[in-house]
Amino acid sequence: MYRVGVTVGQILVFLLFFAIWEGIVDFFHIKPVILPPPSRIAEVMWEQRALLLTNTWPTFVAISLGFIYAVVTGFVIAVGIAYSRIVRELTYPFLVTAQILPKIAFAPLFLIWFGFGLTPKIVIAALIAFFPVVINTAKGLSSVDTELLQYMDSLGASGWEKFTKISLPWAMPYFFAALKISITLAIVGAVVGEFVAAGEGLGYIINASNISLDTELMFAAIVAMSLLGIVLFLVIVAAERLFVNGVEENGGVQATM
Amino acid sequence: MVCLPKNLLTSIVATSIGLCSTSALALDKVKLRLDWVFGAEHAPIFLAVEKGFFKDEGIDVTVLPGEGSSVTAKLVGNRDADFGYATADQVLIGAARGLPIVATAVVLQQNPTAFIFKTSANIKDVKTDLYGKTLGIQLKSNTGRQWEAVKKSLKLDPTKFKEVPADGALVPLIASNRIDVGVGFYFNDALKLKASGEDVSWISFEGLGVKMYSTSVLTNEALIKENPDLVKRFNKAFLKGWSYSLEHPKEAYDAFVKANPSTDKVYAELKLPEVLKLTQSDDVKAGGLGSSTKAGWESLQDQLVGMEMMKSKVDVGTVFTNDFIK
Repeated sequence: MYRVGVTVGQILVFLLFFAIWEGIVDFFHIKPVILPPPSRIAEVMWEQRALLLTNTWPTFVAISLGFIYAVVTGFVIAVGIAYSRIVRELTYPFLVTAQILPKIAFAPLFLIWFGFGLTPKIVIAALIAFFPVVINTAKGLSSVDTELLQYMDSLGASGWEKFTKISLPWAMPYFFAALKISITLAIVGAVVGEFVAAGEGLGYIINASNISLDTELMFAAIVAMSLLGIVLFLVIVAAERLFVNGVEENGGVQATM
Repeated sequence: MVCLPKNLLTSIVATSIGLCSTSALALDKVKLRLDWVFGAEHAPIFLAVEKGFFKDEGIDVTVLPGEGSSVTAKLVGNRDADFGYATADQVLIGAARGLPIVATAVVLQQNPTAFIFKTSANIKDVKTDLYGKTLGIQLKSNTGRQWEAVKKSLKLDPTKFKEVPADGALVPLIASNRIDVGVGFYFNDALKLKASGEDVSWISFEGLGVKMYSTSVLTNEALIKENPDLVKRFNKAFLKGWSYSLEHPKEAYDAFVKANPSTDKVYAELKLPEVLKLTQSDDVKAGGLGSSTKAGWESLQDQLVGMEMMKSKVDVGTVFTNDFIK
């Protein structure tokens, strides 16, 4: 009963937000070209559904591929960091510096370095999404209870068995917390890529609608983008429920960005 | 109150020797939002400020860089800026979308869009010589829409060349031979390439029949109603900057470099004379600097509708005026 109440409340917060927005636009007679009301955005989304759907696909591909690259390479490097002191000590300052670097600022150059279309989008998405995976997974793997490992040793377990049976499950909550951050960053990266180097995708629509002052379409594309992001986020939450035990009680691990 | 008298004596002295002129008391503060970051194409504006043309008209102007003409049109539309300097197409589209904006002077009369390429690409006749080439198109700029129009009007076969998105990156893409031809403003991209030592050529869209008014002064309808005198004085000072620059381009260049010391001076020197050329047209010969005609605006509107940048037509007579030029 409490859960249902919370869900209703959560929906009400959204409705209240849109109602206030609609009210402000209406009260101050704000022109739709400056700020369209939510009702108008909903209409435009329906009118332009074909355009929005066809452009969601390239954005989805860019986000997914960028995310997969980020997760795979991030995971491998995290294992290296967790199991090799020398790798950890040598690479950590570099990784932290690279994480802080505002990679988006390089976006216009990616067009020159990586060409046109899908590649620059994937590269930007992967670069931005990569670091949380490395840092959080490494943190998870290296925080394994040493007594558990010693116990496994006493049972004569191999290194591989210790890794798959103890360390990996131990690190899973950290890993999934990182994935949730990574996916949102991959979305930002893909959109930035589409701002500078694409002739299709939702990011392109957002940017291109600017020259015909079509603010309604711009908002419609932003909403479509957000919906895509929410769906991808929920997929990861669902995977987390599947692979990590007891996630519902503690709400998962706090991740480092 | 700058001139509040401390005592009777000093106030008498001040008035008698004219330290406290009425214009200094009543300077109107206005904000001018440009189309883009400061460049040599704005040199005459910097000159007008430096020479005190605005002060002479009782105006204290703050010149702000822009984020593209569409943003400038919106900012003038919601009165964040009193005046704007933006391309005529965005003024017209903005007005059609309900923004209360009016163009009061069309400064750049000609369309600066062009095919830009290294001279070695050897493009003479666009109807045949573009074939086999890779073209960089700026899809998020109106130059991309103009290219679509040219493609249609010249009946080019799109299977015979390759088009790639190249927003904001024409110069490095041409320089590194990743594209053969770019479609952009020649006074920006072509001259930037030239300044970096490339042998570059361009074919202007104006010559291919895409005649479009370009950068213009705009203001809000409400300001025209409230204070037509201010609009008139502003335009007078603004256009004086341009006519003075046409006669003394070196002074305009100096004023720009003085205000923007970190600028690429080779580029600025190449760019300014080309920009000044664009202020000239038959309309200007007939009506003076900055003037435009209904026929010119209607032709612009027809082209924008054809390019699908405008959905519905408006009465162009409400979007421009020559009242504040003379």
